[in-house]
Amino acid sequence: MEYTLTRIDTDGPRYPQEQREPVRDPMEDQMHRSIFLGKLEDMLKGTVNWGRKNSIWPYNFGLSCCYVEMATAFTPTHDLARFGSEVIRASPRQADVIVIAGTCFQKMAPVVQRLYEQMLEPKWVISMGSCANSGGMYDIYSVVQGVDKFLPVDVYIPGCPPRPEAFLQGLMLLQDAIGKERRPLSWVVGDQGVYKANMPSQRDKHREERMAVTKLRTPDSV
Amino acid sequence: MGDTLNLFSLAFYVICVFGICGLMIGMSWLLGGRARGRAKEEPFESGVVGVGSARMRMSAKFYLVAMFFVIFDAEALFLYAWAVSVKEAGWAGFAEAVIFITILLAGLVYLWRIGALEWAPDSRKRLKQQQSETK
Amino acid sequence: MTADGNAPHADKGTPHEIVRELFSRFGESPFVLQNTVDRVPTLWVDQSRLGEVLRYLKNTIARPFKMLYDLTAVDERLRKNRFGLPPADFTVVYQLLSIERNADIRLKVALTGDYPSLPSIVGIYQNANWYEREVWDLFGITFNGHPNLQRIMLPRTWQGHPLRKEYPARATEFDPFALTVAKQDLEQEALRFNPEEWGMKRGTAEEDFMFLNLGPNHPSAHGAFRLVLQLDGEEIVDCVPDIGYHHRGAEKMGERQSWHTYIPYTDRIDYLGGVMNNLPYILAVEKLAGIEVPDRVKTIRIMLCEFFRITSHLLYYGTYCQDVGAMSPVFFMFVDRQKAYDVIEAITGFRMHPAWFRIGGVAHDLPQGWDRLVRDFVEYLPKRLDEYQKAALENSILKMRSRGVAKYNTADAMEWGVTGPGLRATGSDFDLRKARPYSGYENFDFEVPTATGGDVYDRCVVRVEEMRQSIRIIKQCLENMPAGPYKADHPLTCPPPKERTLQDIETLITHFLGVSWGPVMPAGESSQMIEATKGINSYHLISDGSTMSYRTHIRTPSFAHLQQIPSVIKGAMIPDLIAYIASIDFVMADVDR
Repeated sequence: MEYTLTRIDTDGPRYPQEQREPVRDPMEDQMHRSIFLGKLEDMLKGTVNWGRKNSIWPYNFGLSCCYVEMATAFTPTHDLARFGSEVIRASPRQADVIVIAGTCFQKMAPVVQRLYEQMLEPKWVISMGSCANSGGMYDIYSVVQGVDKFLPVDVYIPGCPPRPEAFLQGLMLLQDAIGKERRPLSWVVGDQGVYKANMPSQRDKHREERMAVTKLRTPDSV
Repeated sequence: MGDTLNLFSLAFYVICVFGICGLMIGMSWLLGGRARGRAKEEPFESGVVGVGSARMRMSAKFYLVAMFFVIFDAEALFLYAWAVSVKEAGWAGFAEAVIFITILLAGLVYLWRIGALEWAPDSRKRLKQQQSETK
Repeated sequence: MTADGNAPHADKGTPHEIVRELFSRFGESPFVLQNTVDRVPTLWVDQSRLGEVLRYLKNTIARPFKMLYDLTAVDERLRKNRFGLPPADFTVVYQLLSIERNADIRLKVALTGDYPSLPSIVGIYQNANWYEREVWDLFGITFNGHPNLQRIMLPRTWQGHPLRKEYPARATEFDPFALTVAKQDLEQEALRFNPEEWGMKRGTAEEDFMFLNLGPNHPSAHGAFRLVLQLDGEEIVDCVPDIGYHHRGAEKMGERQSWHTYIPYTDRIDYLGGVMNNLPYILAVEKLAGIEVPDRVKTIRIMLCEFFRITSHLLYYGTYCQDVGAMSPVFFMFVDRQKAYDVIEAITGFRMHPAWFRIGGVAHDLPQGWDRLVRDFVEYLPKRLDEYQKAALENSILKMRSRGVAKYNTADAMEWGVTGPGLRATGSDFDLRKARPYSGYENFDFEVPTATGGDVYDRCVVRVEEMRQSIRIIKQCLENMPAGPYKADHPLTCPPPKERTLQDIETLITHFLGVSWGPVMPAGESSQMIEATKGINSYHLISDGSTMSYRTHIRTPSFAHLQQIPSVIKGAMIPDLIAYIASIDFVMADVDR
């Protein structure tokens, strides 16, 4: 599997302040050098990732319509607690993921950036809805055309707004990605870069299946 | 002999306490991640920069409440001393403790009466009054 | 003098009562009467006489116009069809509302020059403050004598005034957005609150005030809304609401989208109101086009609107309880919303933003089996509401927490332009569905719930009762759904009924143009007010005889409600503010548009 190595660079002149380069899975090299240590490290990282991915605490952050659907996902019908993510945090210091749920405005961008900076590592970003993904239907002077212009986005959820089920799927995709991440086990041990797996695009993955559908349900009856 | 053994076990206990604390703090210091970000060290204020600093002159009424707390708390300490020696102090000690508590209570009632414990703004008081009237 | 604002089909009957009163007081010479499609008496007046006329209308006249309902501007420089209106580069529009008369009046001031100015009216109507700031921000028109003419929608660092015709609409017409470190610091510095600018002291001789930012991202602020509090301990000495973190340029968008393709944008104004937002826009466009829709369309629209009133009020109810400290009701109420969405989705195909109304009809006929779904819902919800009544509204802690908090009376509500449940909680029974029935509301049997306290608790009680009335209306829709077409048989209906398309080359071309360019609406001015979920929502449309609107103005209730906050909450404590914010029921898209 292909990986992307990300290094934070707080001296960079523009956001996102990081450098990225494509790499191979760092664990493979490790295995080649020493089977025993490699296995041990693999197991340790697996354990840590397992813990991380099953307790992703979202930051209480909402911009517009999408946040209503995100909040709906927390309530009994959808029950986000099944994925260990029901603990909404009111402070960025305690949150693991910031879900950009809604339209990102130019007036709001410096605020979002500051909140992201105040979150602690490890942290992830989910871009929820067309506006956050690309500006969506708001190609207008006051709207940032996609939050990835200044934040490193991990998962994009399409929809305007996405259904709560789509948000749940996005969260599960993030869990999968976290499971494959290689982060340093300590700030004094090893390479300090973050290795993220290049996850397959859902569009490519499901294309065949979707194109094969020819019979669509008529809207004439409920 | 017994005393030295007791001392050893106490010392062992203290070392264990400090050792475990040190281990927990040390391990999390060593294994914890390090986050970096330009605004990370600044106070969180809903995503914008704040005005002024948190070191400011608060209204004196809050200090009053703090002082009352300290005074009453410190006086309650004397009662601990009496409580551990209640048998030795006997009835005379009991009478003295009663007098002491009565004085404290009198002080509390006095403070209550002069309104020294009320620090809610006027609007809150009016609200309370309204609510009691509508009941 | 009378100018014919809408040449072809304007109503040229006798002048309105208020126009006669103004003419008898000031004479006819200062005014130019404009006929509009919406029949709102519209008078052009010179800026030197404006203050005098407004003061007369607010203070002197019998049954006065106590509410400044709306204030906006129009860039007239590129407008072709002006039908003899006074020459103007820009027009500032004032709309007043009188509840005693149940009538409106619209005053227009013609301005010339590229960056014109006129006197501020903040001294007459206090709530003109934000409206004038907005006009300055978006048009560059200066209001002399305004207490603090600052940008309100856009960042302080912004260049230009977007609603001017020479300003580009699309973000993709500018350089791509990039956030550099230098820009981040600059913007954050521009966001730093400066108390002196607002006439606030940093402290007294004995103590310092704390300035606290509640928002732009705060769990209790209900969206990207910032409130800067000046605090003495926990007491709020003063506060400044700061909006514009959700300005999506919906009005500029109206000048770029065709009449038909603008419908989805209206959905996202009050994003909890769904198709309720389509209604005022569609009705205003239908007035322009002269379309009369079939009864079935009217009834379907009302039914869907009331469904959205219920989902919006349920969300309000839940978050309100949560903000005053009751954690569990919100979970139950979201389950009920889910049930309502199941019905809405079966009928319209989408949950929050169906964009389902069309010019001259609705997108689709009701599906088979809709009645069963609706019946199940109207039988289900009242029982749940009864439970909530016991569990939440009659809860003594909730009552203690909210009774008497953040009170205002009807006169205050008028002064600040408050409408909707926030107004009815003060004892007024002004509900447009009763006072000025639209879309067939006159055929329905329902009551207008009111309360007398005007406090946080009463605002919730009124909304809960409104949900019951909505259920009543939906039941009547269910039992008396008229048969007939779901689209009007009119050339401007969009998309046209199937019989009017693809028959021969004529219908084919018309259909093709209607779909690709959009329908052409006759030139004129039109507006429609409706009783939306949060108060009175209206669209003011100016057509220049094109496929797109020349100017779309949206008057939203939440904008007025937020401006009122400082006057109500001064002297209260922070927890009261949280309860008050929860009781207003606003969404930021409805404020900033």
